[in-house]
Amino acid sequence: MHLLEGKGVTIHFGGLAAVSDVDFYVDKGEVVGLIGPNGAGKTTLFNLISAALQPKPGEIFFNGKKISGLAPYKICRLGIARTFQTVKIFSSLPVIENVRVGALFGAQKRLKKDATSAAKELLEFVGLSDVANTPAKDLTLAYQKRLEVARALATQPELLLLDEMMAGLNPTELTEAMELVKKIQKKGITVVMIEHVMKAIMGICDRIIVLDYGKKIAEGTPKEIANSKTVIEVYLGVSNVKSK
Amino acid sequence: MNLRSLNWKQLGMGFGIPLIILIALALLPNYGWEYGVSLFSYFLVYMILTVSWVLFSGATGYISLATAAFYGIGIYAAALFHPATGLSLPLIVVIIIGGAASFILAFIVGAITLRLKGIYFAMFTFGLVLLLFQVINYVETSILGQRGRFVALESNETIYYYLLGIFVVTMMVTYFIKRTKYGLALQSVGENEEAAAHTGINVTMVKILMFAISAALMSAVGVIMATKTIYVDASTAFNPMISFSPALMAIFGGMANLYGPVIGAVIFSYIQEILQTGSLNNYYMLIFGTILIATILYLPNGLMGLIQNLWKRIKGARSAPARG
Amino acid sequence: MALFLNIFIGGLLIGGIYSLVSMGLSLQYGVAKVFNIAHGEFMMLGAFITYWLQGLGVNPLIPILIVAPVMFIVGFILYRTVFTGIRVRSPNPGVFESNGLLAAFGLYFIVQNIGVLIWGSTPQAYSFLNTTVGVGPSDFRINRIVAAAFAVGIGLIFYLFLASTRSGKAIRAAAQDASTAGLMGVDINYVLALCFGFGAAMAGIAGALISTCQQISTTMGLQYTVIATVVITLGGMGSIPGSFIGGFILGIVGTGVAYWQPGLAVAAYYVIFIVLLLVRPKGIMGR
Repeated sequence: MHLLEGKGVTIHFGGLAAVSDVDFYVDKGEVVGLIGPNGAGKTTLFNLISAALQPKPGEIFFNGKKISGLAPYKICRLGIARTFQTVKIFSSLPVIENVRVGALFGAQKRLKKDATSAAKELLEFVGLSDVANTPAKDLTLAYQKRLEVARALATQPELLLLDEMMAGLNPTELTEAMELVKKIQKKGITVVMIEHVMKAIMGICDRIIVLDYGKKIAEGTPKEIANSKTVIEVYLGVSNVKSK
Repeated sequence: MNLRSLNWKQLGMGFGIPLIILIALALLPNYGWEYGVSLFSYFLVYMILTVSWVLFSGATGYISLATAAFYGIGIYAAALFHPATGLSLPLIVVIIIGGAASFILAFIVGAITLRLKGIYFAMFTFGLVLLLFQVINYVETSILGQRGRFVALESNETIYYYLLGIFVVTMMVTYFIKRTKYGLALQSVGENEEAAAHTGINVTMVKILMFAISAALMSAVGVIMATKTIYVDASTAFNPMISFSPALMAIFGGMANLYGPVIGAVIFSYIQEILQTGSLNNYYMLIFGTILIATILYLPNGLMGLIQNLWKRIKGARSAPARG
Repeated sequence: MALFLNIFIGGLLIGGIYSLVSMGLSLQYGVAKVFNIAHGEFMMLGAFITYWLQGLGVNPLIPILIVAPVMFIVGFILYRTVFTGIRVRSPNPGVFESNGLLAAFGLYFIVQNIGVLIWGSTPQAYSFLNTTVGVGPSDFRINRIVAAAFAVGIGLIFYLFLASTRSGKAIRAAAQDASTAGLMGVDINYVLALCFGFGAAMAGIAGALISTCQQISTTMGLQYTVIATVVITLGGMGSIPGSFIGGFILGIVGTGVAYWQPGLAVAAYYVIFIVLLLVRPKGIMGR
């Protein structure tokens, strides 16, 4: 049984199919990359999984249980956490409080003092211990992204959806972020990541799904995807495909 | 938590000063200053309404214009259950009845509107006072044949003590909400609803419950004030000005912490008292409306915000290095 | 049959005025993004200015020519000063909507107070074209027919203005996406103020028209704002044609309820409102 499975997932905005009849699956322990040109429907797919939107038609299953149609907070409590493309932290709250929210309201009911110690642990895990009491809005973008990850992890997810976590990072930050994702995988958490940064995708992912204009056009290991004529066409245009 | 680890100074500041003020207020009627009791009652009414309003609208950003509706329900509860003639229930019971009625109404209104964008909520609440007026007026005049009711009169002292009690309850509710995880949830919802929902918070329920709690507190005030004005009918009970004043007081005072609304309430209820008994009686809606617009434009963080900014500037000036 | 005609046609007649006042609010909220709680107060001003001029011997239909530009200018200036001021100080559109709402709430009290100061609080009425004309088994007052005709006419003229003129296109662009319209060369501050002004003018005209056929009072504003609110929700936020249709629907419902129980009209509107919010908040023609 797949950890996460989507069948015929579709959604229209006005007349446009943002996501069109997509079948996908994610197995426990994997790091799956979700790539595609801008506007391909990647974040929309995340929104459909995390229930910010409802698929119409289509169904999504988590651990065999249908989750399409549930409210976002229920999805979180079932064990799916996410970060956002535009970082959505709680700006006026201190860094540690941001993480504590996740610890208190996530998948497991927690006592207040357990939540605080869990939050401290997670801040260490992502490397934010030094700024624990800084208001979140005063952090750099790279730190804010890490904070979002810490908050998501605090909800004790089985599945973590990362939306363009690597965007805007310099090479050092990028390496650190890639390390972080590997650490998360080691903890036993399954990860799906939307990315444009190819180095990260090729470097960490076990499997890659490619979307274009809302449809799934390719799926496979990084090596398969890198050599796929379809994918190269989509990213670079037909005339750029070298004939073999 | 052992005694030595408590920060006594902070505790003293946090609890001590308010406690002293509370004791002073509780002893007020003993000084024989009749006007003072009446005036402070008036302050307390608006302090409670304003803090209750900020408790929900300040925290979530959903602007409620329904304060007058819940206050009116309280007034009617007093008219029905604490009348001048006939069977009259104890005030505390009537407060609970009025509070419960408002809680239920607010819960229903919240369940319908708080799942949607904030503008629907504002739209729904601003007409609510007119709706309640029409419905109750219809029931009273056409079905029950009543042309106004009389509430049992209570002494100024009784009114004062009940209001003080409701105020203490309001502050305690606010304090406990802030300290528990529900306060954190409320703050998260106010910061970023979508993120809060995806972090496992049942955002809609948090909003609905906070709205209902604030409604119950507003109702309690209405119950008590009915025993002062005695005559009650649909048009006096449901007065849009009561939706307006707490919002003005909160915005003017500043909503970053609890002192802002309280100070705003005291200042404006005093101004209102002066205007209503003076020659400017016919102008006070005009004056308050203008002050609100001016505050929104020029004092976005309210009076408290202004004071805090000035304080920061003074402190900054003191610690800046001297030019050499 | 007579009852049905009374309700249906009577509803259409008052519905014309509801449409007009609702289109005004739709412009102010849908485009200029200010939920103007004081909208009904502008209607009240229009009604009373007409009443006053009529008292001086002027035919009540003439003041429309005065009320419309006066209200337009008042609305335009208000937007350029107060609401633009709020807009530039608001860090995001959500804050602007809240602050604009509160400022409009303040405006509600200011304008109503002015009305009461000038004209007092007792209801007023005057007689104009008070004779009736028969349609089948029912009779309808001519003043209502004239008022409805004017309302519909003005609505249609405005719709044509939106559809075919350059300014109209600018308004429709601003309604869809104000910042992009600005990038396309539309003077946004000017266009939004224009919309707010038009909205106020429509309210004023609606007020002038309503004064010809029923009693007016300085506290009449709130119920019309409530009606306009329900209509723009019913018709769909930001849809002018939607408000137009919605006005007639609510007119018929309101008239029907008034026949059964005159005091419960607002309750009926709220029932519609509740059903809309539960089932289809976007409204009939909402995007």
